[in-house]
Amino acid sequence: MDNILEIRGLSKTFRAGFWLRKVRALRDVSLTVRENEIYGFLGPNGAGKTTTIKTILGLIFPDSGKITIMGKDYRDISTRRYIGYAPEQPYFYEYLTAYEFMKFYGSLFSIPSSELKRRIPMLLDMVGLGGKESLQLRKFSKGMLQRIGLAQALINDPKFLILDEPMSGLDPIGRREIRDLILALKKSGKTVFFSTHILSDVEMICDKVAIIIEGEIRKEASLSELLSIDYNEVEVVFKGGNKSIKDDLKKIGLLMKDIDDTCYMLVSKSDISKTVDVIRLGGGDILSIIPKRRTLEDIFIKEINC
Amino acid sequence: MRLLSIALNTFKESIRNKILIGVLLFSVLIIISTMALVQLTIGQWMKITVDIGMGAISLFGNLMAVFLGINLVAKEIDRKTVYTIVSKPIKRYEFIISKYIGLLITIFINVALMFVILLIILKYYISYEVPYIGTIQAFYLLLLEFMIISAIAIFFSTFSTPIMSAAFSITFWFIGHLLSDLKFWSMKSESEGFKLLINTVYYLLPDLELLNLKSNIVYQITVDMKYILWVSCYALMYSVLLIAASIVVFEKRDFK
Ligand SMILES: Nc1ncnc2c1ncn2[C@@H]1O[C@H](COP(=O)(O)OP(=O)(O)OP(=O)(O)O)[C@@H](O)[C@H]1O
Ligand SMILES: [Mg+2]
Repeated sequence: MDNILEIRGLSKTFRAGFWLRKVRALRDVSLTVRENEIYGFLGPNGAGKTTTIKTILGLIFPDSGKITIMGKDYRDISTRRYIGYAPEQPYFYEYLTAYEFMKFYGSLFSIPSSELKRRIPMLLDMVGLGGKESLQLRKFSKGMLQRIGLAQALINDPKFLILDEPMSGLDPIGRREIRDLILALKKSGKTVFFSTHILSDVEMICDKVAIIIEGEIRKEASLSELLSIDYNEVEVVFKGGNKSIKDDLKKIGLLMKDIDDTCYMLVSKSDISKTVDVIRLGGGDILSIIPKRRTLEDIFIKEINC
Repeated sequence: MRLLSIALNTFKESIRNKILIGVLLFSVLIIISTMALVQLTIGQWMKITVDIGMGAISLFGNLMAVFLGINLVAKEIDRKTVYTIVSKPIKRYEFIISKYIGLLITIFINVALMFVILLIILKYYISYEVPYIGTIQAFYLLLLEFMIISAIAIFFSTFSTPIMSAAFSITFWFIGHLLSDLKFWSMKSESEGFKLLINTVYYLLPDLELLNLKSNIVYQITVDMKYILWVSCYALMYSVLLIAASIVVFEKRDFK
C-alpha cells in the first residue's frame, strides 16, 4: 500500500451564472501521491486546486474519474479516519473557544476525552497557539484561524494530510513555522498533500510536484527531476589569464560579469571542454563550473505561457 | 456520541449567539406586561394571561423554528464549516439529523423556560389553580408544531435561499392553521372541484389546528391520551418525511 492517493481521469464541470454556463474546472486530472511524500499541488488562482481537493473529500461530485485513497474508493467513509483536512480561508464556529473547537472535532472521531485532554494542548502548541485555549474563535486573527484549521486537521492523528493553501495569510515567520511543521509531519511518517501558488514553499519542502493550470495537470514529477531535467547551461567562473581569452570566450558563450579579476561566464553544456581549454591556454585559473538549474519559477512561467 | 456532539454544538452556537437571549427577554416582558393589565376579574385576568402567554410561546417557538431552521444548514455551507464536518467520518444524513435534533433541543429549552415562567405567574401571581394535565398537553402539542415547522424550514433551505425559505415556511405555517377552516367552508361550497382541491390539500399538508389545545387550559379540559398519541404520530410522520426529503436533496448537493 504505497500509493496513498490515486486520481485517474477526474473531470468536473460547474454551471455558473444566470444562464448556467458551463465552466470546466477540471479536465482529466490524474495524479499519484505515494506514502510519506510531501506533495506540492501548484497552480495559479482559479486553476482547480480547491476543486480537486474538495472532490477528494467528497464535498463535490465529479462528472467522471476515479479516486482511490489507501486502496479504497474515496466514497468509502472509513478512509476519512486516516485523513486530516484543512480548508482554505477557514471560517469556524465563532462562539467556541479554541479548546471547545478542538474537542468538537475530536468527538467527531469518537476520541475519548481523556485522550483529547492530552492531545489538544499539544496540537495547539504545535501550531503556535499555546495559551489560547480559552479564547473564542471570533477573537482570532486570520493567521490564527489558519493555524487552528491546521490543528483541527491533526486531531485524529491522520496518516494523510490534505491542506488547501496552508500558508496563506501567514507572515514570513508563520510560513516558515508551517513549513517546518510539514517537514516534521513527514518525519513522523505522515503523507502531506498541499496546494499553493507560492513557488518557494514548494521548492523548499516538496518531494513531488504537480502543476495544474486551467484544470489540467501540465506536469507531475519529483522536484529534483523537475529542476534538473534539460539543464543546458553551466556557469563557469575563472580568474586571471591574458587579454585575448575574453575575446575568444565571447565567441563561445555569454560573458556576464567581470568583477575585479574574477569573470563569470554562461556557456552551453556542449561547450564546456572548449571553454575550459581556452581559459587554461590563456593562463586563467578556473574557480568553479556550476550547472545552471532552472528554478521552479522558470518552469511555472513556461507552463502558464504555453 | 459523534452525532450528539454536532447537536450540542448547534445548541451551544445558538445560545451564545445573543439573539436568543433577546428573544427570551422579549417574551418574558410580554408575559409580565399582562400582569400590568388592571381592573379585571380574576377569571378574565387568567384567561388573558393564558392567551398571551401561550400565544407568545407559540409565536417565539415558531419564529425560532423558521429563522434558526432556514439558517441551520445554509449558514454551515456559507461559512464552510460543513467542509470540515462532512470530510470527517460523518455521513451527510447524519449531519442533517444531528443539526435538526440540535435545533429541537434549542427550541425546547427556550420555550420550556418560558412555559415554566408562565406557570409560576399563573399559580403564584394570579392564584389560578392550573389544570396541570391540560396545560402540559397544550404545551406538548405546541412542541409538536415546532417540530414540523423546523423540519419544513430545513427542507426549504436545502434548495432555496434563506429569504425564500423563510417566506415559504411562514406561508406553510399560515396554511397549516387555516386548513381546518378551509375544509369547513369548502363543505358548504357548491363546486365539486373546489371541494376536491381543498380535500387534497388538506390531506397533503399538516393541519396545525389539530395541535392547538390552548383554550383547554382556560376551560380546564383534558383530551384523551389516544388523541395525544395520534397527533404525535401525525406530527412525527410529517417531520420524518420532510427531513427525509431534505436528506435526499442534501446528499446530492455540491458544496461550493
Ligand atoms: N461554485 C462554483 N461555481 C462555478 N464555478 C466554479 C465554482 N467553484 C469553482 N469554480 C471555477 O472552477 C475553477 C477552479 O476553481 P478553484 O477554486 O478550484 O481554483 P483554485 O486553484 O483553488 O484557485 P485559488 O488559488 O484562487 O484558490 C475556476 O475557474 C472557478 O471559476
Ligand atoms: Mg483554492
